[in-house]
Amino acid sequence: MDKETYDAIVIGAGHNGMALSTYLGKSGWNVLVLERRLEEGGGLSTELYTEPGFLHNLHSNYHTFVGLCPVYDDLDLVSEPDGVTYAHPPVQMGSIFADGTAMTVHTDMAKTHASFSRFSKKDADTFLRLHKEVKGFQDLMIRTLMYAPPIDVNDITKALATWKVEDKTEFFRAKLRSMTINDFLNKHFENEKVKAMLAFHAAVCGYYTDVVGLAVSFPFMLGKIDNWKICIGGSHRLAHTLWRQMRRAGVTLLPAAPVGEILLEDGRAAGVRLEDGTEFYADKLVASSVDLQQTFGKMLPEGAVPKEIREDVEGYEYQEGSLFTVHMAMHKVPTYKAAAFDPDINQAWVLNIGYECLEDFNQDWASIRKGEAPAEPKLNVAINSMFDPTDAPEGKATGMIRVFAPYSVDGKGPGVWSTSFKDVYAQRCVDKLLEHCEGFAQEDIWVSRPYTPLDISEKLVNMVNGDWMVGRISESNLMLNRPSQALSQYRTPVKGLYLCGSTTHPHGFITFGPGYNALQAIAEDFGLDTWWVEI
Amino acid sequence: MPAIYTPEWYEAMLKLANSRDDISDKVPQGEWKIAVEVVGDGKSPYVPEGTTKNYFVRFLDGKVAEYQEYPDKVPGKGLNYRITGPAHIFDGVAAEIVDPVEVGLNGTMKIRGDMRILMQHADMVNVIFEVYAQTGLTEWPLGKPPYE
Amino acid sequence: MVKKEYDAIVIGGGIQGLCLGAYLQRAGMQTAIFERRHEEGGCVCTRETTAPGFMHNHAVCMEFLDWMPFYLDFGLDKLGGRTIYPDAQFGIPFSDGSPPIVLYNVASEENYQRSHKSISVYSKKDADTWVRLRRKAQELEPVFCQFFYSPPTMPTPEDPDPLQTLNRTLLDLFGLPHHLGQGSGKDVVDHLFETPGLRTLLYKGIEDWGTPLEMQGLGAFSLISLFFIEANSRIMIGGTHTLAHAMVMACVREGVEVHERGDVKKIIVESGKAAGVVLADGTEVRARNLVASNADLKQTLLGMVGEENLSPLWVDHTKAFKYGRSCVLGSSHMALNEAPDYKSAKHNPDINKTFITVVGVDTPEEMTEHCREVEAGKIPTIPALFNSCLSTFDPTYAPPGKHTLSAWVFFPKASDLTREEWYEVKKTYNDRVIERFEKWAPNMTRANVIADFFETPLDLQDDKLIPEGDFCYGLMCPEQLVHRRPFVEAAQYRAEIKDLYLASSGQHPLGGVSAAVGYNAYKVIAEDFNLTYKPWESTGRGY
Repeated sequence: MDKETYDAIVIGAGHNGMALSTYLGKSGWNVLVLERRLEEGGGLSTELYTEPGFLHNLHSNYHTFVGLCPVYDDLDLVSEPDGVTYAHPPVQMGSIFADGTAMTVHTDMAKTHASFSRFSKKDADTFLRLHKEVKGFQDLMIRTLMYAPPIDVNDITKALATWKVEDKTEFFRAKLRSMTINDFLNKHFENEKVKAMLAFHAAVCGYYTDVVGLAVSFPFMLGKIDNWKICIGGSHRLAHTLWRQMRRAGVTLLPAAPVGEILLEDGRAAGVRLEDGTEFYADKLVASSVDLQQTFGKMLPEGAVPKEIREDVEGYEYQEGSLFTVHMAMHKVPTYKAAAFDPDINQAWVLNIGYECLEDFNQDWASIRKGEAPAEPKLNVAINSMFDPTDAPEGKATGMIRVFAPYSVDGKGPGVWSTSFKDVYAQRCVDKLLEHCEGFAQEDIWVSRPYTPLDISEKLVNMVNGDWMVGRISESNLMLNRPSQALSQYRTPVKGLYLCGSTTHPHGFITFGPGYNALQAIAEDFGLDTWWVEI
Repeated sequence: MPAIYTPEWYEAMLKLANSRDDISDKVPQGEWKIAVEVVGDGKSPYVPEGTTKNYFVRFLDGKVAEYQEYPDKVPGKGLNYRITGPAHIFDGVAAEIVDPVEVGLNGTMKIRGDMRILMQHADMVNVIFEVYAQTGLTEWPLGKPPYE
Repeated sequence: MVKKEYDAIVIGGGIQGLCLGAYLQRAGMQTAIFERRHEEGGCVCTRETTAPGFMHNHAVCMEFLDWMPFYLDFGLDKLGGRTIYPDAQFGIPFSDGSPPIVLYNVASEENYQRSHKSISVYSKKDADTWVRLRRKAQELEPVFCQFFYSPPTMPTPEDPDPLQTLNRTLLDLFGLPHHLGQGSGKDVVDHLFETPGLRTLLYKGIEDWGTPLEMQGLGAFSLISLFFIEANSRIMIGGTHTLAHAMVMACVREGVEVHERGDVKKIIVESGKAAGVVLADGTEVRARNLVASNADLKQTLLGMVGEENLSPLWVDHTKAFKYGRSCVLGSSHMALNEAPDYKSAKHNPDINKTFITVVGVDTPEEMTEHCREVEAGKIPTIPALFNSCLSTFDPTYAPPGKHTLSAWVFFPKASDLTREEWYEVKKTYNDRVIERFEKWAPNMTRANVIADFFETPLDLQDDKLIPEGDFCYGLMCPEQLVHRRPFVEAAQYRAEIKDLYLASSGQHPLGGVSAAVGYNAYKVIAEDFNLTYKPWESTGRGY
């Protein structure tokens, strides 16, 4: 039998692997994508998790790069005839506080300002100046710092000094590199509730507020605080659209095809062998979008890469915590007591219930590092049906409560999450929600079902330790350090083997950054016509 | 003394740029293609509102090898950078009353292209703007910014 | 975000709709498929229902892939529809640990001998009979495919009842007496075989095709499920839904637009002709040539077309169309630490790695009693399970070292119980399943179950709009078979409204993963529109 040969083989059909393969397919390459699971899309996963007709996003729920990420346009993901549709909730975020007050972040910044002003006029003004300042260079920075292979942070700092940027901006400082998000908020804001609202936004993005160095990313994040979007019909619709575009580009996707090893010929990545023994060959390259341990530990033979790379792989750090989610099928949309203070809170999409001040976050991070599920869960609530009625049967609602939680509990390992503890903890989360509701009670929740940190890793094995960011968010693991200096440019010491998954810059989340940046490296190495670059 | 945006004015500026070694030293080797779009904004008398001046500049090994005004938008294929902004801002930079970095940061002047290279050659950017703002070279027959 | 107009619109992205859409597009019609759900494939659906990493199929049996025109003409094996062909296909272990009966596939002489040996433990005569008839069926495959993958033969003055003719032909081909045609499938099995265990297994084989075990007049028809279909299945690697994915990819590759969440509410009828559809959000999409519906008969005609656009005869016949009790299932899904280890495996370990095993009943009497209970609309006291532990064949069905079990049991119709009663069943029935299972496989204790989930007929109706949870989309009874399916006037896939075609599994031949209805509907459309793509002529396979 002839060897089945392609130009390129991509391991893993998450959004990065799918995007990369589609670009290559559109460049005329014959590409094969091998996915371990049945469904494509990785974190773009939507399932009927509770009851028929209730669509739950089990992983990715918030798409914040629509309009900022070039991939959406390049691959026609949001255009006719069958691209995805996004809803853009007018009240993007909110906080409900113990004293009955509430704060809301709107797409309309004047309304955001008005809401913040009820807590601190000064902070509201500061927020507006900060947001406006960041908006000015957001596009430029996102394209530089996310949608391009990473450069040395020192080069960036030097350039900013050369251009005297610090004299020309209010918030941009080189010393953000040595500050936490807490530090930044304390420096510029006075009201604890405003700080909590903004810290919540960072935390939901996967940025822990007490990690030194992350303040440097905070302004960029804040620039898109008004760009949180919902994929109509569930996040998996985006996976389907990508999947169709892949096919139209001539790419073949094989589901349920776990790769056992990467085949080497004369030190070059020449193909793969599936766990069932089937072999496929690649003339040009193999690109892996899965985690480092699988790529280097499982799929490559012992001596394939130098010792230093092995050490990088073994020392690779994941996020300290994960997420515990309660998915709910509901008879109606929850409404809150705090609506008496701010009626808009009933329309807020991403909702903080419980974080009142920065110290609350610090305590949760401390619990998580100790391996304790926070005793008093503080919630991130999202009721998608308010903006996408198609995700539930008529008149019903789909929603979720999320809580930051450790992967391994009380030193007993992640197995604790498969015991009845998950149901007890889920009820604790639900109780916390109900405490703040008015006109919505336990009986309005038809079915609830927990989805634990362990479930995350069981479903998507590249999300080691339940880490949906697929690697620690800290200075030591971002930009040129992600996943390590030697691997940061998407190339590996194995000729023809590339990395294109969320372990590489920028990070996890639906950014498309890793796939897009790996493409730039591949285009350079193979002299591809960069049709997607339109300056 | 050439008037702003006239062929002579650009000619003079390019001559100046090519005569300065600090530019040729700082511009990375190889070919760099840049489009500049000066958009009429009703404030600058030099570019009628609703029209755009499209310029194309090509650097080769540190020197300006080509300069052209295009009737329409310069095609994006093969370009390295595109700089777009309102005419009164460009006027202001030439008149040294607008800081190009500031208008870049606040988004008034839009830059598309690989910023990483600009960051790695930050000096070059400063020098290029310095050349652009050679007030001694520029005449303002229809008045000089700031416009009232 | 859809275009305003297409040549052809297919309502529903179940396998029939996907099949029809792919052929229409290949024949040159710009086609759009509108699927109400978030996933295509309808019942060809695989979900991680119990716990992450454990894949549970809804429909499981893939008996038709070697014959299915859609699979062959569009190279679905190269689009991710990869398969495994298990040797041990259909078997029954016993609660007292007696030797199991295992029927093997017919890909090799060796496998015939293995089946023969397994039955011979109980009866050499039965073993000879089974092998003889199974060989006969294998010879007759081309005839069977011709029957399955063609529109039904309609009555003529010379042949007033094609179903009777079919019955006689089948009995003649198998060399069986004509009187068996008047009786039931059970009568046929009892006539042919003496071994109680084998009869129990084959009863289940008849029921599995939705054919009521004791219904008179289905004796000959039951030969189809007994000898062509059972013990002839492939496993889709990764889950049956990979087949749906491959079908969608085939459609996309041809140029079909597949719109999920495309909930068609209305078929536009203008001067007696189907002119397009209206979606739930009010979007109107026009069809230049035709509209075809993969939705079930009643939904299509009474719901989307509307009685006002139908003649009284069509309204009456449509309303009279029956959904069955004998083709309704409850599904028990379990994530396991260990695969079932049957007591009977000590005699033949293959029973532990058999594609489908029948567990929960030992004797024909128990099986019959079970069927009668369900036919009476009751939740069966004894779960007679048709179950499959596919992780023993394909490790991608479960996390490393773990196993996935799905078991199906015949159940009453969705409307036989109230919603509240179904919720109660959903919560408790798996306990009954496990308790029963343990008697056959001692390791199947509660402790072996990591997580479990029970899916009721009501769930299927809620989720997939399967009427009553009937997987045949219409009772399998003599009044609703072949040229009478769904009723004589509608049997040729044409609705009485011009340019509207019916392509649900309520048409000939029946449900199951054959994609035959979509193919047959295409044949009719190709004739009506003079389409030149005719694989039944160009491929040389004869159908």
